[in-house]
Amino acid sequence: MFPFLDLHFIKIPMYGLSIVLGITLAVFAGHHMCRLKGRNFYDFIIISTISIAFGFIFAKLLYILVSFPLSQFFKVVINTIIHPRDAEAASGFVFYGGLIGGLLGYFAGIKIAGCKFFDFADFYGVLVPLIHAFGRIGCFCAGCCYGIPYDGPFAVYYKNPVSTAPVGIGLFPVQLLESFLLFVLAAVLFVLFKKGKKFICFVYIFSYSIIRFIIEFFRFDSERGQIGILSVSQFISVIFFVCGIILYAVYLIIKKYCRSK
Amino acid sequence: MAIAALVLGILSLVSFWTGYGGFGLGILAIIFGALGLKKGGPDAGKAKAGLIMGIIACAGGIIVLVACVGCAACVSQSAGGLQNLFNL
Repeated sequence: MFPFLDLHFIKIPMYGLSIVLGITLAVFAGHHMCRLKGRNFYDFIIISTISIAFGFIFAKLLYILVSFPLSQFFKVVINTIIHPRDAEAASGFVFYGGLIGGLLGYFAGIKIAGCKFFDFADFYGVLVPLIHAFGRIGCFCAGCCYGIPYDGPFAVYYKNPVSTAPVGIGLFPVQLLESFLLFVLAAVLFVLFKKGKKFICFVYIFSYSIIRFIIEFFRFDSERGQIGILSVSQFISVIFFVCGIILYAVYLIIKKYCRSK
Repeated sequence: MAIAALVLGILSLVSFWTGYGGFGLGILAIIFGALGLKKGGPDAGKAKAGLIMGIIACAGGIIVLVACVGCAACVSQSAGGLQNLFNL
């Protein structure tokens, strides 16, 4: 579509700009949520920053893992560090890698900030889909993560040859669909958060895994990996779905046990 | 903590165009700035300055560094380098 915002004196990549907008909105939302729950906003900043850093690193690592032969993994990683703007190394992130990295960053962040695990866990259940939704808009603008060939209503035709999407062929607007579903998910989880529901993070995990599993059938970008008949993201979705269900079930059992005591 | 945030903030702002400089140093500036503000005291102003500079540098670093296919890296190569990207 339009990978750049051309301001004459500078061209701003839309993908990076979308992510920055998403993170900015998430910070304002996080500030509001901290006031709602009486949490320290600076703890939120510390934990978020570390989680975002880990998220980017692991999203890139998972992309390299699924896109290059295993024997070249370390070589590509080193090349990415030395030449960050090299086309091969710079292109692409995998969201699930970011989610896993973000979770690890969350553990590190709560240690540094001196908080408990569930002090901020539910914040990210709301904010991660919000940021992700903006990221998908960036994908749409940049022409990555594109959909299957499609000529029906809302079909997208990429004309800019710098995108990876095939030029001049009608494609399903899967990025916009996923973005819409993520905005809806974020809104629903925010309402649950305001109502004081607990463990929204687990609800996010198994809800998003369902969304992602279905969305994968509508994606057509070639550089993703496969595990058997499932794509890598579908495989991870199944694992996250099972984990989310189990963790939420454990929470309900513990809650019932505490009540009966 | 606050002085560290300020120094890292300045360094990150100066080097944000490298991608890693802005993002990496900016992340550290934000963390130290937030820790300094949480601690409070007379150096809170320096911590806040470091935090703000870190945020700006991180935002710039993300925009420069986060390149999906079809974004900065690929286009800068096909368009003849970073100079063309910035219309220099």
